[in-house]
Amino acid sequence: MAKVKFTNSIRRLRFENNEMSQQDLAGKAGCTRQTIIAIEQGKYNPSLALAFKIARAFGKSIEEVFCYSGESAE
Amino acid sequence: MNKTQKVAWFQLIVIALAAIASVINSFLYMHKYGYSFTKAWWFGTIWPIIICVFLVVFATTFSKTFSKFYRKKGEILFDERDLLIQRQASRFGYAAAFVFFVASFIITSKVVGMDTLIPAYWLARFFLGGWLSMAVAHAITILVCYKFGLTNGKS
Repeated sequence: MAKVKFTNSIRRLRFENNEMSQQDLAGKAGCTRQTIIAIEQGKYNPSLALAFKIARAFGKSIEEVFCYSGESAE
Repeated sequence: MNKTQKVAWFQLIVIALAAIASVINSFLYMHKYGYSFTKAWWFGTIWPIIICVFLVVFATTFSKTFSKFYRKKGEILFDERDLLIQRQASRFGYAAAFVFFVASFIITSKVVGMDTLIPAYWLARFFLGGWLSMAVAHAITILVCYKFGLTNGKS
């Protein structure tokens, strides 16, 4: 079965933005800290709305934060 | 660990304790009062199950109210991921209850026969068993989804 692979640069961007904490990012994006942790670890793919909110929290476009790297066979 | 996970652990622990209490209670009724297995099982399990149902329903219903007391100002406690996990847990819960009902009806008809009447209290047992299956499947799905992630975005 094909598995869709998404990667993200949230961890790197947090450190580039004055070492923003996961809690601060969660507050700006309107989600829980656990969701930010899950997204960073690749355990959860956010909705488009949440992805836009996270990108805006960093002042970046969505493609600078999230990357779709195709499908891998499983 | 968030509110939903705490409630799920609480459900599993309460159900496990109720199961242990039911077995001990039933053995006491059998050995102390000399009841038959069926009668001892009926009297031995009824109170642990009723207390378990009360505690689980109470925790599920009022967990949202309790969480307001210790929430920091502006902190978000529930979002889209929690909603997806709860929906997935509900689906698994209903599936578990459905499987329990179908299995119990098939097994009952095979054991006692198609033309035999069964005591009315068996229906209460089927209902409670289905509810317990649903609660256990619901709690386990929540804990597994939070631990290993959801399947959304993966095909």
